[in-house]
Amino acid sequence: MQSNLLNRTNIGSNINALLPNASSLINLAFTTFWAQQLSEKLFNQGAFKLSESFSDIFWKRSGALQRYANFLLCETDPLFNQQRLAAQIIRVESETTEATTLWLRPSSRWSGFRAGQFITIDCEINGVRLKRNYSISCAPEVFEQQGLISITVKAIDDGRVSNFINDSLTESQIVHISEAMGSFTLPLQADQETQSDKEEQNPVALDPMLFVAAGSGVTPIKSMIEHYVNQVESGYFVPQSVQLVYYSNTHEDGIFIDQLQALAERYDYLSVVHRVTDRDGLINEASLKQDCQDIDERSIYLCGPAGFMSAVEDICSALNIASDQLQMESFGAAPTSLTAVANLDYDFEATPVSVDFAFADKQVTSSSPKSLLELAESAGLTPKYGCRAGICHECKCQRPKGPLVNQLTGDLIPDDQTVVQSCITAPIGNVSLEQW
Amino acid sequence: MDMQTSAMNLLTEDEFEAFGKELDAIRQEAFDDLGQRDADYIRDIMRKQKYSEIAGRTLIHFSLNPISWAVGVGLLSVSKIMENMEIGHNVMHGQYDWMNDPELNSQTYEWDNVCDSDAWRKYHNYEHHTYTNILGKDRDYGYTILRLDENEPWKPVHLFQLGNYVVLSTLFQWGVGLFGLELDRIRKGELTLEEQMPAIKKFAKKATKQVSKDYLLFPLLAGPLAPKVALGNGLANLNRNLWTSTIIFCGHFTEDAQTFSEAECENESKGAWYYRQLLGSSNFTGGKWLHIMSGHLSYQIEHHLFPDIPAHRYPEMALKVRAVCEKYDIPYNTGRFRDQYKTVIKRVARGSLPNQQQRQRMITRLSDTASSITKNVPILKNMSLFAG
Repeated sequence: MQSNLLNRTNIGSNINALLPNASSLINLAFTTFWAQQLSEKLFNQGAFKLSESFSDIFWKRSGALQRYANFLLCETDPLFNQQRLAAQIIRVESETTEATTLWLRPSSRWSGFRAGQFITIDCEINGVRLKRNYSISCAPEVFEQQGLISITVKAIDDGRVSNFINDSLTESQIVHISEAMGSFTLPLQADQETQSDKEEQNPVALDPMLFVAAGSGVTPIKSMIEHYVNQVESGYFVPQSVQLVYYSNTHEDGIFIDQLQALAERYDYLSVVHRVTDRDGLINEASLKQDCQDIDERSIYLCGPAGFMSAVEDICSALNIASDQLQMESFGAAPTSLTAVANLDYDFEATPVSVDFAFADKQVTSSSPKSLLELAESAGLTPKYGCRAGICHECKCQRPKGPLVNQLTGDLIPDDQTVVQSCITAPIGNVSLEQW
Repeated sequence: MDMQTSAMNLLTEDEFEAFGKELDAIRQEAFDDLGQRDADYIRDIMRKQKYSEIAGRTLIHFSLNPISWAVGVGLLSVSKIMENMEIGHNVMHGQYDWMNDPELNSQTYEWDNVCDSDAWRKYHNYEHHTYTNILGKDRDYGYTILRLDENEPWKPVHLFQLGNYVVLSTLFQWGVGLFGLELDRIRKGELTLEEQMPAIKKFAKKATKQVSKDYLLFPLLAGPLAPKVALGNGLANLNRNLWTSTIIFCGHFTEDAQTFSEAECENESKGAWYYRQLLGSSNFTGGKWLHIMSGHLSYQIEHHLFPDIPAHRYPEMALKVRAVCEKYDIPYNTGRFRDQYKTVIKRVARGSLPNQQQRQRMITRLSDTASSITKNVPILKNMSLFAG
């Protein structure tokens, strides 16, 4: 990315604006504290070892001083937030008509990622904070060299966050992110050894690989392939055959396919097959075998929509491929839409509902509409409650997994709501609670 | 206003139901409209509160003369009031839970006063907001110290209740904190000390934290100037106590705010519940910042009807509530802040003396005692002959 984008905001002028006339008054302790905070931000962490340990001790606690300090840091630049990881949108690129890539600059506290991992993005949409996981679509080398990461998001029907990202986010806005997570990565030794053996120049030999992806499932795989190519170029990996079989509905829907095909033209060990479902049909044993004859000799990395993944899983077991040869990353189901079913009629007698209170190892079923609180009590639990009428919020619990309805309004409870009032929330199906 | 007749019989069951539905609709309309506007509002208030707190503490700390110190105390008072009223109280009602923001989560928010938030949520959100103004069930009605309804039994201690009221206001945060320990229930034998031990420990922990923040940590940061910082913080706490207690007393203790008996509220419908909230609460009028500084408890009626709708929405909801009240011919208790507060003082004063029946009963009892004494003591018997 452009280097001018990497410059921090001008901190000096902001601080003067924050504390007018303060220079003559500030006592030593306060000044030192701020100098440490800001020097750390300016010169990247690590430049001042002493201040780093001071900062660690300070931020591990929570209290009034931390609250003020974090507030002033955020007012200076939201990326300075010490309590949440923030990232600034540097560029928005349109990949296809339905997919958008966001280039993000995470705050300097963000620890980096391994190719194939994902982050949780936390967006505020009409006042509501919603979280979704998205795979990082660029190679880790891009982050190491430029401090940037990219995620690529395909808009899905009724997907509140994916549509928001595609339609509403613009450059220079701030989103909140998590540290990178997930074990859908190249073998661990590939990363560890590239770090420790860099001086020894002892290249790592990975097994030949097959990547199978569909739709936006290509995002973590693009990161892995680019990482692999970079590592081979730097002499840390022995080049081995790497193949990608990619499915998209139409030719235009293919994400990153031009970039990946261009890479395949440059490097002999990389080959890319693009299958278009409209023309070639869905993936099947014959087509996969045709696209990759030596499939049973390769490590397989699979990512795509649920139906696609289970089809490939079935093909692999039909081909007697060992399960440890296959690595998968699944995408969560789209959340239910709030407006779809209002005031629904549910026949409790025909299909009794069941609740699994997994944290207490208790299960109950009910053939009449009962609130979560009543069901918990009938299971012998004693959760906290108050008015039992939806007034006081004393009975709030974590949102259980499964379909729930608000008994007062008849509305479905959205999947991404994090807590519910248990006295007026009734399950309409099978639900489970990991914690109250 | 006559408080003997049951206020709960003034509407028919059908009217109660229709009335309840109309208020439900007002709530639903506001709830469906919640969005960025509300998120921006509360964040803006929090931002102003934090600037005011930081500026206040900085000025108290580095003031070179009494004026800048006093300005600092003022700013810190303002920030404490905003945090307790417009942010803390409202957030803990669950008004912003729909935002999914952990910082604004009703169940985990901890406010800047000595009352432990868990205890507050129980006795305020549950007891007070569910059983509003039901004598014997709503402990908030007079906080078990003040006699604010003429029908409550009178004791000689009530003679001093104007003084007690001033003391309570001065130490209001401690009153609010101690009230959560339900010491009155322990005294009555409804609770044991052991049962309340966890709550007492939590209160002790929270109080220690608050006291060390305002009277140890910040004063110590000022080194030799510690006393002026401790004094400034103490004054800010006092200002907050007096202000919040005044606002809160205007909510349910104005002259026309009604009380209810347990019996008349048995099996009450949602409509009747709304009705009781309406009759038991009182509003006061004023400018935008009076409403903000009161945490919109100036719209106590709307707050009691819709406790989990963001409070800054109450002014617009009040228009609709008033229209419904007019339709059903239900009194809507509001007036100027000053006027409403005057009636509170009147009510506290009136509660310090027994009502007519009680006076009558006392006089009868006194004269009974006197006559039984005169009958049984020979000398007095003779004296009464003189008197006769």
